[in-house]
Amino acid sequence: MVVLECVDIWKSFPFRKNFFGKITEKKEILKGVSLKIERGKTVALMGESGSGKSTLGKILLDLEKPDSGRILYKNRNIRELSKREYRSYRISVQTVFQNPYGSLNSKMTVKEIISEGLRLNFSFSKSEIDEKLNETLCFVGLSENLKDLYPHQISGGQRQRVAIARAIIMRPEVIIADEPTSALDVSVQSQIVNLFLNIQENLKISFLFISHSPGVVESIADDIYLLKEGRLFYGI
Amino acid sequence: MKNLYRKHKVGAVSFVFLIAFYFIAVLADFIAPYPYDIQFRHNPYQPPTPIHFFDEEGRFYLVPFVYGHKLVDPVFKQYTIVQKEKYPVEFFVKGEPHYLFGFVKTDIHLFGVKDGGKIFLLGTDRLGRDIFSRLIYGTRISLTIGLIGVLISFLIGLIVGAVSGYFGCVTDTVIMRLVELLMVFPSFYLLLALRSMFPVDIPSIAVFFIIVAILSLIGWTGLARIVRGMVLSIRERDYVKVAKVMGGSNFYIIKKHIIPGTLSYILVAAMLSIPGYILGESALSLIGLGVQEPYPSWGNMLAEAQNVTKLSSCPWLLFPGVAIFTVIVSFNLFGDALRDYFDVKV
Repeated sequence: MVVLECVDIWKSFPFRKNFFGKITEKKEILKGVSLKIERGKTVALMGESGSGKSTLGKILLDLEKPDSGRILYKNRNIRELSKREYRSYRISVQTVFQNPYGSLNSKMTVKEIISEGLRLNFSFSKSEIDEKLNETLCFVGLSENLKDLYPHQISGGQRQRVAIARAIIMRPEVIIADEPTSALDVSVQSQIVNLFLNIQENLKISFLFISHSPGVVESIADDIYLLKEGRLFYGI
Repeated sequence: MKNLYRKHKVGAVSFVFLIAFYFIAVLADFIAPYPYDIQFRHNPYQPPTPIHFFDEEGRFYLVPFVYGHKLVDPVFKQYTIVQKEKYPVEFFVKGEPHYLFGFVKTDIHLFGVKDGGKIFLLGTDRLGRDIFSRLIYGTRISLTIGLIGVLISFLIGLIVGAVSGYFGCVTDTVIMRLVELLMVFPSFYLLLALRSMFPVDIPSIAVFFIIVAILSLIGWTGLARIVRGMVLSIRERDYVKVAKVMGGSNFYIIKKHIIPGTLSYILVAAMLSIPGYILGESALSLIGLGVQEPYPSWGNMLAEAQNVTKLSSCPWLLFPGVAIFTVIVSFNLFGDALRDYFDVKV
């Protein structure tokens, strides 16, 4: 079953504007890209820097609007979802960003960061939230003592684990991970990859793994796509 | 706070100064030896009363005393010391009744002299009112006007800036052009124009609130622009995007992620903009459009010092200026220290 899908996505960025703000030149980033993410499968998306893989990820997360094309969540266009269905799309599709320094709000504690999604979307009691929090912390391999620390007090690897915990605490169906290991050093990278494998196995979450280094991707992906000059190619 | 003190001694000292000033403002009735409107008609333009420990024969007194003064030349305001009259300066002296904190009725003042003696630490003005007492009461106006004004204008500036920066596009353009429209007016003339919309002879308390409203109406624009700039950069941070992915509404994201990110800056900016309000009030009061007599503000007390010939014979009329200077320098130094303190962390 296909959970998340994009069909014929076109996206361009304005390259040059004239004096009145009219776009005179633009750069085509995505030229009719279609991609399916099936339940429980891991899809890897590779490409050079600037090839538009992150943009595609953001379009799938509905953080950027494509020039044309549709995003389908369980075979329905997300533009046509009701408010409630859109919320369930928001809960089901989560993300882990590349840079754990930028993706955690430095003014919030680890506990607040991880439980934010729960507080936003569900009306759990404090003890239920705590229970889920402890369970998730344990799952991603973080000690409970870290709960009350701020992001600048923990290491880079720990931060990325916090970001992953935040993504999985709501039990999403898809996680779009935008180069989740490239800001970490090599030994920590393999730990994080192992964590992803663990999540895959135990929680049956689909992944879209955006990366530019084949090494990390091969061990984890079912399908590998390559984005080149705005078009998508299957396999390498 | 300890760190702040270690790195910024000057800032910490000015912080203590500010605390002291606010303390004085709260306890003005108690600290001031006389009410602000009492007129000693026999003592106009009397110079500051010196406090003595030794009398004319060189004898030491444990309790300091002041001499009685007598006006000998009513035209040139010359005073002589009456050596027979010695009044000890004492603490917790009975004086005019007042309400401490607004409800405790008492007639005890911090210090004073008894039995018809008078003590004017900073001299008197043309009606024989004690400048020290009026300065103490004036603290209330000058210090609260800054705080309330900053509170109002920062609320407006923060909300307008955050909305403008977060939504961008047309919203941003429209709001920012309006802000710029407001900014191009020379602020002092705008201040005068707005003040002239209200009658001159309205109660002091109304004038006070009108001034606060006017000053904040002018003051929020600069802040709105800066907050907008910060929001433009913060909204591109990854954690804001994640919050969006998790289903956070715009209002939630602005409240939870964007405004807290600007707070440390805003605190500093608030400190640094308080002097503007104090000066604004002083300027209005100086030209007679601010706080009305008999209620003292540092601005309308300075208005008496406008006459140069008066000033050369009675330089003590300038003391409100010293007070304004001290408070403004304190706010600026403390704001600077706060900025350095936050910069290290951010």
